[in-house]
Amino acid sequence: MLDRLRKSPVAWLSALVIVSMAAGALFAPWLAGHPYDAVSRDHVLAGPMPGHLLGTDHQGQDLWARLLYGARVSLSIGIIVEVIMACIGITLGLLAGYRGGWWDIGLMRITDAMFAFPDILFAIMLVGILRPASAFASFLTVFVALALVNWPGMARLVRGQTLALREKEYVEAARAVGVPSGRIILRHLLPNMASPILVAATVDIANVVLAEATLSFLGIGIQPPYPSWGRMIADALPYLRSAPALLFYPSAALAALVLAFNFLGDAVRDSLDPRLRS
Amino acid sequence: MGLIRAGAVWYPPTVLPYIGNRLLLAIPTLLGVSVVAFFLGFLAPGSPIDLLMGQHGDPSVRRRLEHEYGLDLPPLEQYRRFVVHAVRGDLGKSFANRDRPVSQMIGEQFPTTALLATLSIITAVGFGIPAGVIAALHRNRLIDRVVMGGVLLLVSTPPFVLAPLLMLAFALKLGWLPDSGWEGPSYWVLPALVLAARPAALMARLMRSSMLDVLGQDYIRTAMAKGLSRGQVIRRHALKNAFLPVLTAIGSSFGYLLTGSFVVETIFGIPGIGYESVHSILARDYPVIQGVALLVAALFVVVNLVVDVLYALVDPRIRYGGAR
Repeated sequence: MLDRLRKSPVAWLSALVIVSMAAGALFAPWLAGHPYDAVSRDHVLAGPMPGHLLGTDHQGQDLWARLLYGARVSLSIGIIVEVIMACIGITLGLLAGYRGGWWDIGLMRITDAMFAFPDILFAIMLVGILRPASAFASFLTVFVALALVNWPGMARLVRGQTLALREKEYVEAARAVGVPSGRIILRHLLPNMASPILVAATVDIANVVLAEATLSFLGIGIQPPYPSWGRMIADALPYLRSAPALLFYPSAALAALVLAFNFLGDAVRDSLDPRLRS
Repeated sequence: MGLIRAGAVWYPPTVLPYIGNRLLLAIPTLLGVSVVAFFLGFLAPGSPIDLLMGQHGDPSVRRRLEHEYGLDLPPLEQYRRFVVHAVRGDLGKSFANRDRPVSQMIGEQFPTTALLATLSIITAVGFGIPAGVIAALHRNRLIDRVVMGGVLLLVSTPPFVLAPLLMLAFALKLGWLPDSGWEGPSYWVLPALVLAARPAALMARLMRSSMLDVLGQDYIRTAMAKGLSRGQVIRRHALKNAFLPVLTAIGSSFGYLLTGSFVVETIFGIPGIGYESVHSILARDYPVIQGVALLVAALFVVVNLVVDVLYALVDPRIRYGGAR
């Protein structure tokens, strides 16, 4: 399985994009050259020049610095939200699939209800109404809103996997010799559903990154002065004709990151698909 | 959707009771949405009255406003009134504009959004389905890879990236199309394209895999063995069967269209529900937000119902009702 993945140039390229963006985000204070909110009055809407690698925006803020710090927002939200919602989704999915009964009925009703409403719209309403004042609170609200609307998909996936796996002979055998449930789940169920979870999680990160950018674009996500790619795109719109570069950089960064996660997810899925094996 | 079951036994089509059942089941969904939409407002910091009052500090004015909007009642009573009024089609008054009932506002703006959504669906189907079929018929060849690469590119490009790029190219540089507004068919092209991009990509992907599935079925081999040409087999047997799963995707893409319209209407300055909702959310105009939430949930229920009924009409194996 991993052989196919290792031989896929697309997977390598995607991983490269993700890793280099993660490095940029991690080392932003050293790579940026400017603080993300430093304003240079003399250089407003400037093109690339010494001291400003990519030029400056309408407030005279360094674009390169804002792109790097924006990567911090996108990646940290994508990964942390994914971890939170995977924990919620896996726990509830296992409970529903393994215990069954009320756990199962309850979970299915709740996820049904959540699927009946467009998820990002719910996040928009939640964040829009709570509308936190401080930058820290805006991070927290975005985390919670996105994790809250995204877990049902993972829960359904894990429930389905659990239902299929619990009937397998080796699980039955383990139960017959008296292995406790917790150990069966950890030793037999989870490792065998790791791959579909991994594929779903990779593609989910792409969706979470997009959702955060959408919230920030609409003005209710991450609050300025902290940069977010979505917000940078919104700020660039009035200068579309005079300074299209303001639009291009954050758009390209966002599209590249999301594309990389999507390609990676697809490559992992292909490498797991027995029908595609040669 | 769990309500449609494929039965081995023939049951006469009983469409009307089925639709009735589904509409009954929609009531708890709508109630749930109304509870969430209504009580979210109570989580918000500050009182909505502060928005209405503006600079006034007069307590008597405050009391009068609270009374006018029923905000002096206990929360549960407020909710009861909200539901009772909503059932009668009265969604209350906007905070930002006191003379304007929310239902009237929605009535004025909904046709625009509906037109945009319909145009986008038609565009998405028109591009997505043929692209998926072509990719499937040329599996693993160059054209397939190009289509599938394009699919991932479009799925990864959010509307607020695609819209400014198209605007820059076709409106500002080439001058072929107007850049914003909503005054006639030429204004519809860019927003509909932007909104159609993601659903088109998802439909192409689904159509491709569905087509590949169908082409591997026995009845296709049988049809080929009978001596039908490849083109005939594809047209008569494969396309119709492969289209079924895509029908569901068309239904679920409505959810994306509604959210996407928030962004697209804001960028292109289109006076629809999405544009209004973004303004209301930024202004914390709860009655409008609640009204839009209910409308969206109701639309979702109806669209899913229509898709399920169509699905059963296209696929003779599916019967309505409790056939097991």
